[in-house]
Amino acid sequence: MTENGHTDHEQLSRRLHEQGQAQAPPGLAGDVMRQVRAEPRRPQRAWLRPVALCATVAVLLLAGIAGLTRVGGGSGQSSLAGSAAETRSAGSATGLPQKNQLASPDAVSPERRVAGVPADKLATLSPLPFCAAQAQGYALRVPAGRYAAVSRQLQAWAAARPTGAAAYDVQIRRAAASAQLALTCP
Amino acid sequence: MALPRLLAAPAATYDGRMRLQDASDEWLAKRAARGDADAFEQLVLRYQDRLYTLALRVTLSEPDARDCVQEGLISAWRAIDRFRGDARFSTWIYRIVLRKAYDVLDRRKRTAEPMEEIVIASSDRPADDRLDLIAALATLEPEFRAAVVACDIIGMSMDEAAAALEVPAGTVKSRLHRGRSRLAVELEAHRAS
Repeated sequence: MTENGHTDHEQLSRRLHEQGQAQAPPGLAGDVMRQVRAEPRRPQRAWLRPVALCATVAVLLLAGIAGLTRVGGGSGQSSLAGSAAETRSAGSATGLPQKNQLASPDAVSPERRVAGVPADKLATLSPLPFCAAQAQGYALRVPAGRYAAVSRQLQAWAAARPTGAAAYDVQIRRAAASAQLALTCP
Repeated sequence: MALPRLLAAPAATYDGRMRLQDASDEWLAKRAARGDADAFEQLVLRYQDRLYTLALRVTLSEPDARDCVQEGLISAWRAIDRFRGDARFSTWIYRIVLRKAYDVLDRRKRTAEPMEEIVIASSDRPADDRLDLIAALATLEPEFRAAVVACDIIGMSMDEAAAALEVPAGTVKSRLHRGRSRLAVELEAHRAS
């Protein structure tokens, strides 16, 4: 910018400041304040906002943890059960009892155990594996999608078991949806 | 350390208008956020002329300027608890009123309201040079006019104008320069005719 142009701008700026000012209409502040007083503010409780924020975060965290526990617990159990079953299955294939065969069923809740399922019916689901003599039954690995149906079927067979027929207790283990239905040693 | 601050800031319990008049904008805004309408009134009285000037020179219409200021101040009252103390109150309130003024301009653009009738506000004194200046200002594009009004008429600093206009300081500087240049050309043309 030239010196002359700079001076022009300064003069213009000064003129604008001097001549550009306007006064608010006389009733403006009064009108504003009438409206302001007509809708009084509730005094804000400054401490309430952080407390509410903390409470919300805590609730969300708890909900998240609860949800994770539920989801993680369920799938973890099933995957653990699935892998344990596979391990046992591999062990039984060699005909040797596994060291921790009897410890793992602790993870299976009693309501997932069906007692007295007829052997002939059970064999229709999967070939009966050879287990150690002390084993009283079998574990049945069931894909997640068929869990309820298979469970009902086993209970129905157990209820309708003919007297004196050979029968086994079956622990039903939920496996991944892609897993094969298989009977293993408990 | 605390003593000078106590002396500088008005006491939390005030007993007259004089104390409010001495208070800083930010202190008054804090009081207003707690529901103190008298503190807010002090801010209204303090800023009404500057806000009206800003709105009038941007919208070029007295009724629209009045509406902008009134609506802007009511909006500020409703939202004052969201005013953060790290920014200046003046910047915050200028921004609110400027947004209202831009809304008016947008609405006017959509409805194609004729500009001739609203260029010169009736409150402008009929001195020739003043009319020239205001008429020349009205020929600028709104964004250039807003920069000139904010910096030259209201007297905002470049940073304050940038915050109020919600553009970078460099943009304000460039708009101000180009606005002044075009204003000078317009004034020259007025004088020649």
